[in-house]
Amino acid sequence: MGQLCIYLPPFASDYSGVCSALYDLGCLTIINDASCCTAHYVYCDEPRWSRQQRPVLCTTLRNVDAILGQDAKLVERVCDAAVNMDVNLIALVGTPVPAIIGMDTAGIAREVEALCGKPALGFDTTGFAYYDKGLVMAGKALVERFAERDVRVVPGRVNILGMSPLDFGDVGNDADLVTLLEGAGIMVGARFFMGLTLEQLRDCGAATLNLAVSAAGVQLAKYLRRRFGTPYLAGFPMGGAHTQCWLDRVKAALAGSVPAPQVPQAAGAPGRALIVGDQVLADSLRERMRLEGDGRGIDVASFFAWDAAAAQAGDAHLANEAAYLRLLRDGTYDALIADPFLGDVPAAADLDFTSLVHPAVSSKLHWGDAPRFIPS
Amino acid sequence: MGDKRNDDLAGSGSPGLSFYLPEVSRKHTVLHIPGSHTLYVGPLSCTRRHDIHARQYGERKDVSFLFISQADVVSGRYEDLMVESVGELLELLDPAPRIFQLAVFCIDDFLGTDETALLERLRRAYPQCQFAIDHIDPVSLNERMNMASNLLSTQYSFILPRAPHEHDNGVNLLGTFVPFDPDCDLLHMLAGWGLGPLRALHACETYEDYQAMGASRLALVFRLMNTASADFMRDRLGIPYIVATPSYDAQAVAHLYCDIARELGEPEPDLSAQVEACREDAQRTARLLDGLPVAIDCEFSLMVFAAAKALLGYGFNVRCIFRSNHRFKLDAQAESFILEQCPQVLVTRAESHTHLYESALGSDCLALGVDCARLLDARYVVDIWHDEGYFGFQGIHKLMAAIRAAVGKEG
Repeated sequence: MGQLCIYLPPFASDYSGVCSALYDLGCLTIINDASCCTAHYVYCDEPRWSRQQRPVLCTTLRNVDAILGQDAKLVERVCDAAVNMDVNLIALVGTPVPAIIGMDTAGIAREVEALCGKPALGFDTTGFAYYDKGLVMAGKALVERFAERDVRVVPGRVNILGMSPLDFGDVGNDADLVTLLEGAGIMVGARFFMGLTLEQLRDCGAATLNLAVSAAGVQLAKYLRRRFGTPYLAGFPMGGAHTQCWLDRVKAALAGSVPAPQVPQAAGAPGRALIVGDQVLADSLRERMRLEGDGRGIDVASFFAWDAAAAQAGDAHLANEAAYLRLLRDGTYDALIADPFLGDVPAAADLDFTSLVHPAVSSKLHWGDAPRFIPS
Repeated sequence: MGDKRNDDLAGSGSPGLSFYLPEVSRKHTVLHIPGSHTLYVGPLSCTRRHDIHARQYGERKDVSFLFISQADVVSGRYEDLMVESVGELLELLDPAPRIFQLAVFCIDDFLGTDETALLERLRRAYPQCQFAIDHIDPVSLNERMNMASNLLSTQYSFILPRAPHEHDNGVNLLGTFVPFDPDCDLLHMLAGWGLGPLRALHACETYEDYQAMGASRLALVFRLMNTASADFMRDRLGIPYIVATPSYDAQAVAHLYCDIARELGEPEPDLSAQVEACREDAQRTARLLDGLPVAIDCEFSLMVFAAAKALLGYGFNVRCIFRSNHRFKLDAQAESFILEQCPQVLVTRAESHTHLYESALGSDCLALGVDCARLLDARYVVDIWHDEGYFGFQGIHKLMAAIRAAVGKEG
C-alpha cells in the first residue's frame, strides 16, 4: 500500500510552502486552522521563527465556524489585526478542514481586501500536498498580483527563484548566493523567497535571466518564461570547481549563448550512488561530484517537484515510501546521499551514507546542520 | 478588567486569532502503552509533528503514518485503508503490537466515520489485537470539550479488570509525566497510610507494568483532563479516585490530604502547622517583592485562576493573568472571584495576537511562566511548566524559593 509510512516522516506541506514564501514580505499571514497547522509551520517548517517572528496567526477554527460558515467574523478579525499591525499585505492560507468543507479562501480574501483596503491573497492550500506546491502557488500569486507587465529588461540582471529555508535551511545560502553573483558583477533583482520585497516583485519582469535554484524554482521559472519571456537556468553553485562552472554558465546565458556542457559524464568507476533530495540541488551536487572526478554512476531521486526533461537515465521521481524502499533494495546502489531521516531506514543500513540535510524532511531536528554549499 | 479585546471567549466558536511564540526547549514525556503501536491517519500535514516528536523522544518505532488523499476522502476508501494498513503493519512489525491506537485528525469530524463499526471490523479482522481510536481534533475544542481528556482516557482503556481480592495497596497516579520530588509531602502521606506501590503510565516499562495498574486500590488525578480516565477506572476497574490537582493554597492542600484520609477510612491528619508554615513563607516572600507586579501564565499552572487567587491571598500584587483557550470547571470559581473581586487584575488570552502590538503589563514585573515572560519582556521570570515538580506543601515552599531566587531576594 503506497500511503503507509513506516519509516519516513511526513514531509512539509503546501501551506508551509506558502507561509515560507511570504515570510519576508511584511505580510499578515492567517492560517485557517484549529491550531495544529499553524504549529506545524512555525515549529516544524520555519527555521527562522526562533530568530525573528512574523505576523503569522492562526484563526483558531472551531467546528461551529466551519459548519455555520462564520466568514464575516473572520473577515472582521483579520481586518482589525491588519490595521493594528500595519502590514503591507494579507494572506489567508487554507488547511485540511477548509479544503474538506470547500471553504472559499480566495473569496474571503477578496472580502478582507474590500473591507480593509489592503491587498489580500487567498490560497486554497489543503495540507494534502507537499511544500514545493505551496512555494510555486505563492510565487505565481505574488507575480500575478504585484509584477508590472510592461517593464524594460535590464541587461545583466537576474532573479533568484525558489530559494527557501525548506530546501536550503537558514544557514546563509541565500546571502552567499547574492554575494557570489554580485561579486561576479551580476545584478540581483527579485529574491524569491529569501530577501524578497514588494519592490523587487513589481520589477521582476525586468530580469534578463531567471536562476532556478530549486525544483520549485524551475516551476516558477517556467511560469515567468510564459509571462515575460524570461529564459531560465536551473542549478545551484555547490562550491569548489562547480561554483566557477555554474558562474560561467550564468554569464554565458546572460550573454545570450548556450554554453557547451563542461561536466564530465560517469567514467565507469565501480559502485553507484543515489542522491535523494530537491531535484535541482541533487543534480547540482551530482555535477560537482563528477567535476571532482567521481567516476561512479550517480542517480538522482526526489519526492518533490520534478522536471522530467532535466532528469537523466536512472533518475527517479518517487511516489512514496514504498517506491523509495524498492529503489534502495534493488541492489543498484552502494552509496546514499540524503537527509538523515531518509538514511535511517533498514533498507539503507548497508549503504555508505552521507548526510544532505533537507529541512522539508527532517525539520527542526536537523535544520541547524543544513549544508552551506558555497564556502565563504 | 477582563480584557477580551479581539477575542470571543464566551462563544463556542473560535476564541480569536492566535499567535504562537517560538518553542521553549523542554523535555516532554510521551505517554506510551508498552507493546502498543499508534497509527496516525490523516493528511500528511496533520501527522508531521507527531513524527518529529516521536523521533525526538525515541518513540519512532512505535508509530506509523497512513496518509489520506483528498480522493480517499471523496471515495470513502478512508476506513478500508485503515483496516488494510493494520494488516500490513502486523506483518511487518516485530514484535507484533498487542494494542493499536488509531489517531485521527480534525477532518474526521467532518467525514461521518462510523467509529463503532470500524472498531468492530478491526477486531474481527485482527482478533489478536486490541484497538482504540484517538481523536486529535482541536477543531472540536470548546468550553465543554477537551481533546486531551479523550486522548488520555484511551490510554488507560486497555487495562483489564481484576477480581476484588487481586487488588493491592497500589495507587495509580493519573496526569503525571515526571516522578514526584522524593521530599514531596504527598509521598510521605501515602506511605504513612500504608499505600504503595505508586503506578504511573510514564513509569511503565512493560505491558505487565501497564496491566498492574488494574490492581491498584486508589487513583489520584493530578490533571483535570484525566478525569475521564479516572471515571473509566472507577466504573470498569472498581478503582475509586480523588481529584488532586496541584494547588498553591495551603489550606486546599490540607483539605486534599483530609479527603484522601476519608477515602481510605483513616483519621484526618492535623496539618495546621504545615499550613501555617506555608502561609508564613508565602507572605514573607510577598513582602520581599514589595509590590512588584506579578503576571501568571496558563503555561505555569493548569489552574491559573486558582493559583492567582492563592497568591493574591498571600499578598502578592498579581496584575495580569494569561488564560488558556480552554476553561476548566474546577477553576471556574476562582475565575469568577478574580473577575468580580479583583478589578486590578487584567485577564487576557495567552495566545491572543494582540500581545504583538499591545503590552498587557510593563516589563518591570515578575512573570510566572516563560511565555508571558517573553510577551512582557519581564525583568524576573520563574520557569514552571504546568505545575510540573510542584505539589503539596513542599510545592508551595518550592515556588516561594523559586520566586525569591528569581528576584534575587533570598532574605
